[in-house]
Parts: sequence; structure tokens; C-alpha cells
Amino acid sequence: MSLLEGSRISEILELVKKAKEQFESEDSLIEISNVKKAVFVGDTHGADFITRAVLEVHKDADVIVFIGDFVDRGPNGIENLELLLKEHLENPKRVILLRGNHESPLTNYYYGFVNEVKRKMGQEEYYEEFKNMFAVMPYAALFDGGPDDKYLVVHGGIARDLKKVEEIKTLPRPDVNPDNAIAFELLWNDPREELDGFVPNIRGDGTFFYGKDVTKKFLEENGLKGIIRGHEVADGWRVDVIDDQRDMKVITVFSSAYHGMRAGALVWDGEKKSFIYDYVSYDRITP
Amino acid sequence: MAWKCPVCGYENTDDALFCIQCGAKRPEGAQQPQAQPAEASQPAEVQAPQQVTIDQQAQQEAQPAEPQAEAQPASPTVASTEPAPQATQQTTPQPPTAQLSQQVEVQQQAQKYYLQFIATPASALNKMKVPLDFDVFESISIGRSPENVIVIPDSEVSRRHAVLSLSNGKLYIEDLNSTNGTYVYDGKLFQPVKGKQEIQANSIIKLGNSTIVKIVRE
Repeated sequence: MSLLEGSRISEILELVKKAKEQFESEDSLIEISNVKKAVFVGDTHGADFITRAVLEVHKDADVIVFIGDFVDRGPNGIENLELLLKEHLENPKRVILLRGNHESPLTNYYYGFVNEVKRKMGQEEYYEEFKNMFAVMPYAALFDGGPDDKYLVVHGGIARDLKKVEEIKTLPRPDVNPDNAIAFELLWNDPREELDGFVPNIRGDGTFFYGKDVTKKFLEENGLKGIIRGHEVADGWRVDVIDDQRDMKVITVFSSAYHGMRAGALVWDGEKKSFIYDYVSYDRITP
Repeated sequence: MAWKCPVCGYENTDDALFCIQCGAKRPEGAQQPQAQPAEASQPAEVQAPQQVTIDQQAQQEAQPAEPQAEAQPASPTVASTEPAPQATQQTTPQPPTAQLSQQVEVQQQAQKYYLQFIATPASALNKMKVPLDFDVFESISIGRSPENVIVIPDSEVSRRHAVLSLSNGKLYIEDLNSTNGTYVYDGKLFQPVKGKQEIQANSIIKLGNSTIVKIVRE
């Protein structure tokens, strides 16, 4: 028994297959430059109506980056992915999809997506297709908004053993969980301006908080102004200040609805060279 | 006679030593003239209550640890209407002279400790600094149940989890046989606290599995 019709299931599987091929053709680190308007969207977690609202409201954006965590927690992981993958395949340079820690069996078996696949598509085995696609997704983007406005865009943040941003390009793929420590930390770590160094995170073994000093060092050594990431619940967004005078910061964008707070969307205005901390208005009743 | 809280404006009954709405300490002396200047001079501290709107329980419980002693250093301009030492005189056991009390107060203010949330399931608490007012509470209990000075709404924190205390200028933490333990970060790992242990400013402490706090001195 499945909730979706057979033809629809085939369509979804075909879409996932095509998306996998597309991701395989992309670098692990996507470079974005020369844009007037860019939008950064954090975790959507099965809230396809938020993804739809972002695409609708920001039709004029040159690029929209979705920073991972498309499934789990919320009810419409499949529909959310379907929408995102279609948009990405139509225009891979405009709608960019990065991997989150919820694009992995480590979380999908516990936070709902595997069950959703089983319930809506009739067979748990179909999850394998999603899993294999997740395993080849890009990890990060390098956003170049101008000489003094370069940002690393990644779901979690920096990793202990990552020295240069370019090293992300050499991370092995496919990596299902991922098992590579740098890749794992890129998806799992959290910033804390109150701490120094890398401090073990409450999320579990191998996850860390990255403190102010190590973040500053990383940004300086890579000529970056900051990091744009998701991964942590926030009322739309949160800022960790790394260097107030030089305006170095880590911006957390959270764009889901399951937490009952506002869905954030970070908009880059290329003319003014500044960010607008925007919210996505959405109907509280999920379709 | 009822008194008006200088922090939140709540009308408290005469027998209340702390504001029952926000937990601020009852001001010394006349209430009417004080309310105005104090209110105007406490913006920094009002923020904390606002940040915690998500968790009403946490808000009400965390605040007793953050009484109006905070408003005082921030408002030197109104010191003439309400000198800080007077407030201490009431709560500290009989200082020999007002002058000594003043010195003690200055000393204590110079090394005021805070507990700052780094990570906890009630995410709205993160970044929040709760003052550790050892002049009000001799030892500051931390736990999940409401009788603690600092209440942490985390199911993996024990009802009575740990106690912070200040003795001869040294800060100590004691684990109260909590189920999931208390740990101090040694720069590499979180090491379990056994019995009573001295901690320093900037110590990072884990309570149970899901809450991390930092001891801040300002």
C-alpha cells in the first residue's frame, strides 16, 4: 500500500536518479559570484510550502541557496525534495542545493524520512535511491559578493582539520553518512562566539562547537568575511559575532516551521553590499 | 504598604522581599521617587527577561538569581537616591560599618560571576547570562525542579543537580549525585566532577548530556 500513485512514484524515482547524476557533475564546493540578489535559506525540514514561498517571493533572485536539511521532522519531505530537485535540474546555477546532516541515514531512520518514504511510496527499499543521491550532494558554497564580502555557505560550519576552503573540493564522494571527519563536521558543527577552540558538542561523538578564535583564524586565512549556515533552531536567524570591528560573523538561518517560530531567509543585496534579514511569511496550516 | 518594582513596574505586597513578577530585589526606602530613575537606568538587564519568553517557567525561575543588584552598577548616576551598599546591608549579616560594607560590595562587583548558557534544549536560553549573586544566595543550586536558584528545563538535568558556591574568593561546584553527571571541560574532554571541586572563570561545565554553560566573570 502506498499513498502515492504508481506513476507518481516512478516520476519521483526518475527525478532522484537525474538529480544524483547532476550532483555528481558538480563540485563539492560550489562557487557563486557576480550576483545582484542572492537568497540563503536554512533548514526547511519537510516544509515544502516554505520552499514554494521562497521560490515565489524571490523570483528576481539571481541565485537561491538552500543550505541542507530538506527532509525529516516536517511531514512533506518527499514533496519538498521533489520541488527542490526539479528547480535545481531546471536551473542548476540558480537554485543551489547543499547537503545537510539530515541528508543521511544517520538521521533519516530516526527523524521520519525513512518512514515517510515507506508510507507514501509503499516500500522502504526506495529510500536507498534517496540515500545514494544524498551521498553525492555538494557540501558547501563559496559566495563571492565582492572583494571584502566572501562567505562560506555550509550547513554546520568549519571543521577541526579543514585549513583551506578549497580542501572541500577534494572530499571523497559518495560518502553515505558521511564518514570523512571533515565532511561530517561541516554538516554537524555549531558556532559559539562565547567559546574558544573546538569544544565537544552535545550532539554526540565527533561533533564540535567552533569557538570565536578558531573561526576568526579560519576566516582570516581564507580571506572570508563570514559563514552562512543553518543547522540550529532559531527564530528566523541568529548572528555570532567573530570580530565586531571588521564585521566578521557567522549567520545562522533557520527556515522551517516545525519549531513554531519564524522562517528566516537571508537576502544579499549586491548593490548595497549588505544582507537583509528577511522572513518567509507562510500559512501555519500545512497543506 | 505595596511597593512598585523598579525593573518591571509590578505592584508587590509589603511582605515581598523580591518582585514576584520578575524577581528583582526590593528597593531600599521610599518607593515612588525611586521607581522612575531606576526604570530609566536598567535597559541592559531588562533584556534578559525578554529573551526567555519561550519558556515561562525558566524565565520566572532564572530571575531570582538576577536581582536588582544588577541595576545598581549600571546606574551610577542615581546612586544618590539609592546607594548600592544599603541594599547589601539588609541581606548581608551585620557588617561592622557601612564603609566596610561598601568596600565588600565594590570588591564583589569587581569580580561578579555569571552563568551563561552555551547549549541547552530550551534554545531561547542560549547566550543568556544569569548573575551568580552570592551576596543573596550563599550557595546557588542548579537543577530541573522549581526550588532551585537556577532552573534548567532539560529532562536530562536532575531535579537537584549541582551547587555553586563562593568561599574566600574561590568558586566551587559540587555535583549532587545527579543521574547524568556534572563535567568540567579540561581543554580536551569533559571530566566528571567528583564531590566539590574548584572552578575558574571561563570554566565550561556540562550538566547532564544536553546542557553546557560557561562561568563568566565581568
